[in-house]
Amino acid sequence: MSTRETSRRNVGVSAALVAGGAGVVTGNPAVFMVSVLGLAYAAYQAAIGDPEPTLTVEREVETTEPLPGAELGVTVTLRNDGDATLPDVRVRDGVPERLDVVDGSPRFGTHLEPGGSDSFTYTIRARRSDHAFAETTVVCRNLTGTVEFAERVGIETPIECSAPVDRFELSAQTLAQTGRVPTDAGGDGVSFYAIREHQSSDPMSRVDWNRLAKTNELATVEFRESRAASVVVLVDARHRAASEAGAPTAVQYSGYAAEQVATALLDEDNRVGAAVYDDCSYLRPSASREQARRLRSFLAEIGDGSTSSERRGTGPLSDGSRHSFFQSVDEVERRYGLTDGGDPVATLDRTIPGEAQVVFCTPLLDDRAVDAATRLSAHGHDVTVVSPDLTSTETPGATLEHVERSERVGDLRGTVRVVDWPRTEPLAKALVRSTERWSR
Amino acid sequence: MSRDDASTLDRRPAESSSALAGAVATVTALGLGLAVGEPVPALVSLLGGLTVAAGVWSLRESSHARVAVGSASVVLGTAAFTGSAWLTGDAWLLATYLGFALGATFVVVDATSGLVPDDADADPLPRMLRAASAATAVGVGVAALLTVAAYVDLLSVALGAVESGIHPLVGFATLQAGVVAGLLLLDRAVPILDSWLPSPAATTDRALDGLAAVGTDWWEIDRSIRVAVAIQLVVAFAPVAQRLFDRFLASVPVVGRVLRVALSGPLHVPLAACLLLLLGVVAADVVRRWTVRSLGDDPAITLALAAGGIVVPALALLGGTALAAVGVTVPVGDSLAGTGNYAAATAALLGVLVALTACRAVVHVLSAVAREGTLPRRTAGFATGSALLFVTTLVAAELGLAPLLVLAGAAAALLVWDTGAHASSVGAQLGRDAETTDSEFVHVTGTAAVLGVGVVAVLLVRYALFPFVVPTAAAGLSPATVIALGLVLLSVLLVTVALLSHRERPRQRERAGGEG
Repeated sequence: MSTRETSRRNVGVSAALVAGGAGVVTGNPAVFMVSVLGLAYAAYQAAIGDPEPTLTVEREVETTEPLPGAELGVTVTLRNDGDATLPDVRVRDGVPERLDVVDGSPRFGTHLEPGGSDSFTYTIRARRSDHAFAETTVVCRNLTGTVEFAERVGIETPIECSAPVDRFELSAQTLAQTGRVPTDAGGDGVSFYAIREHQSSDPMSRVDWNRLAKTNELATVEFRESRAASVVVLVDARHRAASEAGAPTAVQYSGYAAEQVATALLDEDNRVGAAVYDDCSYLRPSASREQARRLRSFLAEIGDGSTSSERRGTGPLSDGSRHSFFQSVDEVERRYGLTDGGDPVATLDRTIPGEAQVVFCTPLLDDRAVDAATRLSAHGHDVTVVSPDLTSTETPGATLEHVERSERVGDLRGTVRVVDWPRTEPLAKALVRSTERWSR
Repeated sequence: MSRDDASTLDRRPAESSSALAGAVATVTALGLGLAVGEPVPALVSLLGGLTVAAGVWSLRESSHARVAVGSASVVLGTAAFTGSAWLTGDAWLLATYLGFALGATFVVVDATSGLVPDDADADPLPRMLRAASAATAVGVGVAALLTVAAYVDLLSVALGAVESGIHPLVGFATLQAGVVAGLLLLDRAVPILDSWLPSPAATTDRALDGLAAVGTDWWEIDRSIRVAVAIQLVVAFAPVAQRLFDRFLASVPVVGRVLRVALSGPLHVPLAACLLLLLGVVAADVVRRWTVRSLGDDPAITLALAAGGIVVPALALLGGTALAAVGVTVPVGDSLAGTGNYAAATAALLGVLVALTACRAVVHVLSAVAREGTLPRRTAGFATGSALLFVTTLVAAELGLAPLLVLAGAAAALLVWDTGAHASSVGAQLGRDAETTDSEFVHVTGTAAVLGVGVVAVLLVRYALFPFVVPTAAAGLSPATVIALGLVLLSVLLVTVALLSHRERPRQRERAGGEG
């Protein structure tokens, strides 16, 4: 809180002195009269007291959990709880640093009668993250503007902007265990699959009694079998560039996508692991309760930009919960005597379990990512590429990059499943849209 | 869409209050200017000031077209100041007109775009004034040349010389000097012509090579030739030499007569034409180089900034020529009567140049004062403008302005300052886009009410109360003394009321706390 005088009080006195002096020198009554006017102005400024505000400031946000890209209105209300009129109240709301104001202004000026209130509204556009409002600055001036009272007020209005992925559609490459991934095999399950000829070992509960009643033939009902899958979420950690200053990097986008997908898959009882494309750090697939925590730590370190050796030293790996079978190509070659020419795809293929699917999170900014996805698919892994689109069409160079990436996406769609994720929409929405075009 | 970034906030003064300040300043300048003297110069100067203000506002836009329009407006506005000076005979009246006009201009400029912007180094106004001044100076030079040409009438002199004929010896010497000059010019002109050709062909190459072979450098000419030509030029004008040459020509029966005719003019005409052509080529190249250097790295913006200095001289010269063509001449002086309107255009452009230079000085001084911190940068225009209005009102009072108008003018000046300063502080803290009309209205209403009541109170004291309460004849006092005494008492009363009011609400420097 601070109170200060503005430097405007001398004007009336100065005018009075100039006019008074000129009036005396010239002997002109009209000029002398002006000096009284100057004094009247000075007396007015001196007579008005300091502002003594007792204000309540409230902030209301349309929703504190908006979807990324959503526009939400913020309403700030000021109420004068004191007994004096506040002729000049100025407010600057502390808009969260990373959020854009798309309509209106977070700054407002008004006057408040005792007990009166006033409010203003502006609109911000949500971005993916948790945001906190900065302190709101309130300035009160007296009627003449000669004294200013200022204070910063903190109003807690957290905004959590995220769109969690509830479900990730896997392909039919599964394990033998029962899970929630529908397969192309008949067996135990809940949804109808086929009717086949009865065998003597079939349980009585699976006999199609209606058919027996109509045709006097025994038949057995088969249901679509649901199994668990083993999935390795592979994160492309090579591009640490952002599309614009202050925006998340390509690695952070890929890491975020990997975390969302891994969490959704773990919730459906799948075995989920993670790996990093091209330094080959690896977290073995598991369905244990601890795995969610390990995955978060593993992926957070990728987003931070730490190297594989840093991750090995400080991460959960040190307590034995993480298996760094592949710290880097060099280390692998040194440890196991492998000679694959430093090919990360070959290294990953040997490390990832043979029946595991791969979810490759990559911005597809070069042909190596396309090559890796294609080769992993050729090695027998069902590959799904989740690709955040970081390109734009703002400049000729960026447009060229955008076109090249679109061609890569088109090329990949003939071989593997691709989720093309524009930055402006939630990942969950992009997944739903992509799933609709996939065939089982 | 914009992030709430303090660096990108439009911190110009709040719109409503600054518009009010500008309107009050303009109306005051207009009303008092009309009341104190002639309407035409008052209107011209005020319109000039508003044109300058509009120009400065346009100048600070990003588009080159807007910058060009702004530059033209600023120069036209300063030309109006010159016109006002032309129309006004009395110096004090001129000072009053210009004081009111400039006061309103400063206020309007601060209200719209800021007289001294935050980033003064990037401000286009000083650059524009410099560029337009340079262009106007060139215009003055061209106009002066045209005036001299019209005064001397070079064509008639040349034709007269050809018609009357020159002495054969002078013709012989000047012919040689002309040929030498032609060879020298050819040496300079051929490379220029070569560089101008977009796609040289074999024929043009051959022609230019031939001309280049003929052309020569000054130092390549043999010293004896140079000396011979120089001596001939000196000797040719001596009567003795001319007589001797006449005798020589007379001694040669036929050839002498042919030479006399040929050397007395006919050969000079084609030579002069060739020389003029070559001189034109060299001059064009010099102008081209100078233009390229003047336009700098960004010709478009340089041209836009200098647009006013190009448009106004062009208008003055073309307008002067057109008026002279239809028989209307603006008198400048008896001795320059034969120069058409070029002398008047030169004088007018000179006035514009002086006004532009004065504007540059004012902007420079204001920037320096703001940089030193003597005058707040954000309120420099409001402070200077209202001070000019105030002082000019006092000057106008001495020129016979009615007391009511003097009071109204002073009150308006104080209101302009107060409103402008408030608008400026609101703009600095909240930005121009924020909704602040409510608090601005309350502030302006308070100040306007106090000043209005002050004017009424002073008038009551002046005309009603004290002349009635204190009969001057009975007390043996002059009316002026009684009025002054009454006004002093009123002042004491006002200050007492202020002190009492202040004592009731003691000012707290430090507070213990508060909700907000």
